[in-house]
Amino acid sequence: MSAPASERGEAGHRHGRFAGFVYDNGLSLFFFLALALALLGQIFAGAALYNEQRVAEGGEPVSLLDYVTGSSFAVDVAENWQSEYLQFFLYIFVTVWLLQRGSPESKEPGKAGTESEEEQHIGEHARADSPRWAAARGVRGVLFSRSLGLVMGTIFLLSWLVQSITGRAAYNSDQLGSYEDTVSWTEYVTGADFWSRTLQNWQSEFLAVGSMAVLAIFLRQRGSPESKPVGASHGDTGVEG
Amino acid sequence: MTARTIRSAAALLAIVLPAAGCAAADEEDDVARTAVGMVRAAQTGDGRAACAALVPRAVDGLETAGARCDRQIVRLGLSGNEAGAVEVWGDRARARVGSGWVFLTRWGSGWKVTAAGCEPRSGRPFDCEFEA
Repeated sequence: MSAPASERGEAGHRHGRFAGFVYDNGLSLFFFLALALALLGQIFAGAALYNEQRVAEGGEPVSLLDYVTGSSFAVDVAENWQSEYLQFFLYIFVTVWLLQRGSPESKEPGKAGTESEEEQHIGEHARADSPRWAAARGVRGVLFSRSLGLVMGTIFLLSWLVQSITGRAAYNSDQLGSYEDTVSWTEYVTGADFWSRTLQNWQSEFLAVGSMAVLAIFLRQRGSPESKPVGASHGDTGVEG
Repeated sequence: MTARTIRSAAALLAIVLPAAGCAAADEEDDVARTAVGMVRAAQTGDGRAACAALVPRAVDGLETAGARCDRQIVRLGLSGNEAGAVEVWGDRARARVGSGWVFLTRWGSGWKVTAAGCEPRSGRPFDCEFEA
């Protein structure tokens, strides 16, 4: 997670190792802290809602621990995780080939594709500071060249699988609560609940990515690498500020 | 694998398996015991014991128009001495006792009955002798 020493900020050197670590990793630290707080909030709000439903059905409220280790919480988490990882997997993969003229999220026109070894600093074009596997030939080189997409895609598939397993458990629990039959895993993954949960998450991810790619053509956020420089032309593509 | 790794894996499984709906065998035994105990009590005329195994809302359902739960439940014709199929999904469960199904919900550290004498109906919820 740490950046190379040569790139570390001035603040780190002035204020000691901890401040330096925070400065160098502020982006990931911010989002992991936000993740922890949001999960905590989801646990309390989700447990309250779950217990409201339990009491309304004549049942007894469950403890926070029972809720957190239960299928209802797990499926709610997994269905959101799979869609986020799908979003980033697709974005990483699709932007290799597809362009959006004027967008800082896109490569420049004419650069579609996996690019040459020279442009990607791989094989004999690897630099002194390139990762060792960038210079490697064979399976190692192929794997490392696609490792970001592979890992994001694998996490997506695993979270989707977890969604199907925990979703079935939560669905069957609800079925028993309304005195109805339970379903097998195959019936569940071909049924309405699984696809409703899945598609309602996917549509929002696709909207967010599509609108970001287009809005970033015309709008600016001063200082953000996700935006073009404020004074860049609307026609500039692949330029980050 | 070190002992610490094994303990960590066991702790992780303890969290993941319940979320996946994998009930422990002793949990299924608890469900079966509660369901069979309630049916057997009703069958042998011990209405008070049978009603003690129900959630309050199920008791209310049997006590309409001034009727008493312990008198009503013994007249429903519930019968059975052992549980056939048992399913536990999170906080809810069902067990087949005799010719009918018993539905249960988690209650404290155990289980209570929400419906009994239930028969399946195609495409609709089960038809029960009583339900919460």
